[in-house]
Amino acid sequence: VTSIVLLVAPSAASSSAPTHDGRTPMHGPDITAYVVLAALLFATGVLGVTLRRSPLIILLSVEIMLNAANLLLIAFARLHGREDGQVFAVSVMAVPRRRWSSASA
Amino acid sequence: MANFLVWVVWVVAAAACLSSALAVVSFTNPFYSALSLIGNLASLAVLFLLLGGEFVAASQVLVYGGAVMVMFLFVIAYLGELSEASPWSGGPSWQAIGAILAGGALLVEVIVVVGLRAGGFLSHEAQIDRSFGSPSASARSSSPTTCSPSR
Repeated sequence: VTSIVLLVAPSAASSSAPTHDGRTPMHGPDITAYVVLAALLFATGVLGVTLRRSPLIILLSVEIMLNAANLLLIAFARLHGREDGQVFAVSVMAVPRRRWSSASA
Repeated sequence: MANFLVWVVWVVAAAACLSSALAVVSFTNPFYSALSLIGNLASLAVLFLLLGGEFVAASQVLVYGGAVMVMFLFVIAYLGELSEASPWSGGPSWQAIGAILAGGALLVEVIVVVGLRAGGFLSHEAQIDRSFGSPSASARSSSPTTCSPSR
């Protein structure tokens, strides 16, 4: 599975032939599919936060919501062709580490 | 052919992502919830790879899979048995109905807003080169001294 992903990923991200308007299409689904997937993930996280009583599961569900936001950041970074969204995604990743170190302390 | 393979990988990763997120929410044992969150993070890393974010995918696996999950599992093991009743047991409660309504309302809101307001803007991807998403490009973009509108 890893080899298939590593084989496919470069051709998905960078595209081969430019179209008539100078833009190049992505392989696979376009950004709308990623937006819908992120919305579904975020709704699942909301479901977990509101449905469960255990604080551990609530924190895990907040992680799911953070990851949905991360997916949107990276999808729009790809849409606009700039790395700024990826930089923000990396800094979003640092949030649970801080929270968990303070919680465990 | 490449397009078909990308679609297959995307569908598998998206299905794994959603099902593991649902498993996180619905498992009664927090240990199993944390384990299925690992699957969620791994399939999200695959999606990041498809979007050209190699550095973010690698740091997703390293940071979440390495550090955060170890801390999660340590806290779970430290606190002992934490199992609670299944959220779906005992018939529909007001909390469950309200939670599903809130989650569904957010989902419908996002999809309606995206479908109504952003339709034309989402179909034209920018052209990227091979260095997109590499650590050096991310560092260049995050450095305040070299931040410019036209990179």
